[in-house]
Amino acid sequence: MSLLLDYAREILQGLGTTLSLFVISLAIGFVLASAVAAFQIRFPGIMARSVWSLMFCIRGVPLLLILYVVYYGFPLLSFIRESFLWSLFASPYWCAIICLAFVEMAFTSEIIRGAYNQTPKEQVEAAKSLGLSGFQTFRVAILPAMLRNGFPPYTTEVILLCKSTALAFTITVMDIMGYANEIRARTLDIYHPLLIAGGIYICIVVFTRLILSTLFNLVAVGGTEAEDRA
Amino acid sequence: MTATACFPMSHKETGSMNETSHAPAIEITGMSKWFGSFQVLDKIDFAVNPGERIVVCGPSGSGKSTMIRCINGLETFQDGRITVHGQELTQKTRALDSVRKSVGMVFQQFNLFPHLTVLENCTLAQRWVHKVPRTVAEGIAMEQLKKVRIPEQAHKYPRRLSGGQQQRVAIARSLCLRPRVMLFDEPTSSLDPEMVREVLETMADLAREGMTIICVTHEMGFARSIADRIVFMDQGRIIEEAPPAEFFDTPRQARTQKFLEQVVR
Repeated sequence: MSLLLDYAREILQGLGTTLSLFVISLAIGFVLASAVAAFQIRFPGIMARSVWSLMFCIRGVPLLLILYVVYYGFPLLSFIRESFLWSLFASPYWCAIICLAFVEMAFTSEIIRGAYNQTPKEQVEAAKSLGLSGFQTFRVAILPAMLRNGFPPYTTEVILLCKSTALAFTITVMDIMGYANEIRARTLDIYHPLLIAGGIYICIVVFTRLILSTLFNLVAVGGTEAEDRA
Repeated sequence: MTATACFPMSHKETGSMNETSHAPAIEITGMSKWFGSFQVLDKIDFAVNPGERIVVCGPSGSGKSTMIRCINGLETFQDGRITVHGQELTQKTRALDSVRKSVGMVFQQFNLFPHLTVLENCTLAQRWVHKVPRTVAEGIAMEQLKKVRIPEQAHKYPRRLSGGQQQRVAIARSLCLRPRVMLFDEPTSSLDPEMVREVLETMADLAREGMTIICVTHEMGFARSIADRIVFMDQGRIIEEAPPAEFFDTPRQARTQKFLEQVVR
């Protein structure tokens, strides 16, 4: 039992890294995704379609492959080695964050775009008929509908991202998975460190879900299931 | 529905109250509209005087909803012109804003904002568009909610209300902006039968107060008792325009007669 506690203590050294990978890439990914989605909505036609195709390609490629290209491939490019970018791409931690944020952008932009397209046009017409301006219409008719429609898929996406951070250990980042793997390699004890790591991931996911549903209830006051459950 | 008896006000009683004003509230001349190659409105000519109550009817797909949606700029049109209280309607933001400030609209699906309470729905545009202080806006909203007889629902969310109640809130929400014209786009078509009457009565109240009304509806009893004029449309054209008695009893056009045979029993 004390052995397990020792393992847990060692693995938890990676908790900060896992959480920061998760939260920072989530934030950057969301900002980029909003910009990408806004661009596609604002400039329909060939521009939107090209951006959509690019996002589709990013979604279609395994994250591990992107990690390898960035971490092992970028240092071969002289313009990266010789510019300020090197300080970023020389760090496995930042490589992982950039890749995670990049992939997160591709998935989240599609969720945001989908949520926008699901906005009932009647709501927009009601706002217009009351004389509301474009931004006011967005605030009262479009944004609330986007939150209602986009939140459930976004929750799923956030949880997937949380688990994707575990791939960072493949490029030497010492996160929860990194420490668990280290113990496994050192002691040849396979089950215990991995089970402990799994338990920690589940705790993070449960906690994340709790935060997200609290947030959702805050923004979706009234007229939604949130009120019914109360 | 035989609603004639429910709205015991003939157009003769109050219909003349505004006949002194000469400038039409709304004037449509030669308006045509196409969806792609399909023509939905074909040279519509039509004027509404202040205080007049117009019912627009016709089979589905006749362009009646499209026509009234053009009046507050929710639909664009390709040819002709619309003036609302002397102001020409264009797609320019300023012209649209100014027209929408004087024209209220009520939709078939109520279109209340579901995340706002009834009171917030009614105060929103007052505060955001007309910059009315919150307490004043709430006062005006409560006054209008009393008028549509649901002040007690002010703090509920729209989902908690029946369809008829929601539609009355939608009417109150429009009235809060003190419009000079109210447009109704099939306001009772998505209501359960027992809710229709409360909404029609609210509209009849408005009519009695001299509000200029254009209403697209299939409620022929309502049309007969409230309207000053009935406009019958088919295939994007105005086929016939007549006072209710004449329209129902001695329609001139064969198409109108056929329509009436199908609707009125």
